[in-house]
Amino acid sequence: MNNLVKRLPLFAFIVAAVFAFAFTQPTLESQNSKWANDPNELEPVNITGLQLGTHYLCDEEPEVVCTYEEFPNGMRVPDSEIEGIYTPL
Amino acid sequence: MLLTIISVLVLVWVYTGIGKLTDFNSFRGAILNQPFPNDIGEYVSILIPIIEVVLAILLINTRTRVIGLVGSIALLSAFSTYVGLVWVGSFERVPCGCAGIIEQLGWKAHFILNLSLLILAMIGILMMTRTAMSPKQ
Repeated sequence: MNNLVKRLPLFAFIVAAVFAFAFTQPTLESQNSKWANDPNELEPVNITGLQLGTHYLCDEEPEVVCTYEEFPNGMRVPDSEIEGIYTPL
Repeated sequence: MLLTIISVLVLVWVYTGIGKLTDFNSFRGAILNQPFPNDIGEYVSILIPIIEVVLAILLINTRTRVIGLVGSIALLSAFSTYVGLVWVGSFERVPCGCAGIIEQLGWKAHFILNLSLLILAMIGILMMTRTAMSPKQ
């Protein structure tokens, strides 16, 4: 029992690693398009292929959508919205 | 108690470190979105997850545990300072809270979490120091 307790940090390492791989998915190139709500434009701007931090910034603003993704059929990708104010660089 | 503290820190470092490495593109983008130069951001985006995983490994090994705790305190102090400064609006802009792993937390909650982990790490090193200094019978 004492041995098991001493190995608790190692178990924590293994559990955390499993959860990290299980719950984190890499962002892959996809067929989806990416759009930004530019406050200076009337319509959403297509920013497919552009990178956050390199080509544009999103500043904190609750309940304002900075960018989102759409499937090829035009439907919005669930949980793809990033909150904030869009600023092109 | 000490092993619990160590385990919590290991859990946090491994989950966040491996998570950042797994979705590196998103993490890098979120770091480049921060209000410091992109030149610094490129190095930060690579170093932080590596340091986090290394700290976890140091914490597991009893011989390097003190180094792991000191390193955790250093990194958590840096994180807490930066997040605190962003939260109070010290920079010219406040970036979105889209820095990868704990996306759902706002800057205030993030600051409280970092501070709590920092206090935990400090308690851990105090406990280790007391154990080392207590007279052996």
